[in-house]
Amino acid sequence: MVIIISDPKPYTVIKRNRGEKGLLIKKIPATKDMLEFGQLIGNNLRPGHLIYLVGRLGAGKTTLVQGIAQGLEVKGYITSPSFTLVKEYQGRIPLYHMDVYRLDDPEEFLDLGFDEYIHGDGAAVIEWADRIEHIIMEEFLRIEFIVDANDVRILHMKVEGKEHLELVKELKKNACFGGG
Amino acid sequence: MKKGEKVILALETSCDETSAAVVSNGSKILANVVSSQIRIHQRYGGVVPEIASRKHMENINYVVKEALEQAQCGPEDLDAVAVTYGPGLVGALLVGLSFAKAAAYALNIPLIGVNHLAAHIYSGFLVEKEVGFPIVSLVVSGGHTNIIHMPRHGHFEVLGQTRDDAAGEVLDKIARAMGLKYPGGPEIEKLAQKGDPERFEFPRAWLGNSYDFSFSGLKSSVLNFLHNAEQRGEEISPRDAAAGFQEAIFEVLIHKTTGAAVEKRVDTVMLVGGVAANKRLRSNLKEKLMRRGIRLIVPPIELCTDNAAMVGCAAHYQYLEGRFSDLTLNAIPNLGFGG
Repeated sequence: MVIIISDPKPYTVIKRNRGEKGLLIKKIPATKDMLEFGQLIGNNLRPGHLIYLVGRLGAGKTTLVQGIAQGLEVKGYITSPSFTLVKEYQGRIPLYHMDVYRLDDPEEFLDLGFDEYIHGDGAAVIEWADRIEHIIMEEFLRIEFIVDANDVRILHMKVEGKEHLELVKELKKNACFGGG
Repeated sequence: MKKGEKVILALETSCDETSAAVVSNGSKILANVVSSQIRIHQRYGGVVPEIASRKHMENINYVVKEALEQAQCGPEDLDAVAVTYGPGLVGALLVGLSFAKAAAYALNIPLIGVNHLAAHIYSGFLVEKEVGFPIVSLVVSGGHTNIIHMPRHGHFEVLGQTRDDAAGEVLDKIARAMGLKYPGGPEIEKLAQKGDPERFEFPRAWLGNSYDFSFSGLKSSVLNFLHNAEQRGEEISPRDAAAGFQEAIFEVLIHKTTGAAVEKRVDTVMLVGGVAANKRLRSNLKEKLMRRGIRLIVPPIELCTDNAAMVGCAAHYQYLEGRFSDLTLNAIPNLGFGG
């Protein structure tokens, strides 16, 4: 189900979530670590999983998706979806890689039928998800990319919903996290 | 319409643009209407075209009507309906495809499904009909960076493609980081014209002997460069920076395209797609090829960006070979060649 808040205030949603119990932090020193962590996510993805990626240009969002695709056993290159908005890949399950930066009006997300990808037979990853955050999904894993002064990436992760809590439990078995 | 002329109505809705064209014999453009260029909203009180399929649906009737009016041609004059069926955005493709199928069925004329990348290459044939094969093309735009070898009509061999970002997309993203307007390519070009391309050196990804491209490393390098300068409170010349990284992209494009042209022993190279509008890319590629005795064909800008005339041109050659589609033709978002 999709709910649209008529008066969008996406950033209040983000603030509310900060410092809340359930925020996980993961330090990513180098590109290969980003790929590895993506692989771990990809290994554990199931149909219906939805991942939001938030962070500035060059923060490593697409690199993480490349890792996720490897984990899903996708063959071939993962090329940027910025221009075409969505790219589909066939792996162990289908991977829908979206980039919503170019959407001016978040409702275009629904016009384009993107919610159907999300509730489809595969897993969906959405770059620049902060642009559509007031289209509230019931379940998701949100990953915010922060770049520190030493060029180290810090991932802030927030999870919503039962299916995605299961995903995080699996991640915790194989990786170390900070946070609460 | 003259007797013996083959007149094709062509539709293109693979991404942002809704476009309809009427093309005769694969070379004569009777009309080429592109939604963003004709300001439909002023004329018909509609809205500015956007990415959503809903916008394509609102536009398509007007765009087709306008194209037929400009071409002074009625539905009974059409010999076939052509349409892009991939690659592109599925919802957007389906609008053009559904319209084309309905029109072909109602008029009882053939439907011709066209590959969007093939259509880009055929924009070169709109400029010059009799080009000797084989040909190497560089298709470079916001969504694509491909080197394609074409031994004859309708046959395509992808020699190289991007492994991450498309060239036009990197230009857009860097422009975004510099606070320039969208689309960023033309803005970067304007700045670069007055800049020194050698002042700042950015990395080139050669990828060995492969004709593939990778621009994400360059993107990160430029973003870090801009970011670090900002952190240090350093003023960098936007002109020199723009010239520097534009050069880093173009040098690789030109080197690999020339290499592919020499390897395939072609006489002609085509430079097509939105980034082909860039004057420096045109002149530097032309010069490099000329030294090898190879000539360059670059269509005018309105045929380089997404438009339906190129679809009509590609469809003409499919028509001559009897390669028609049936009404079960589906949109294929990640359509490649060889299928």
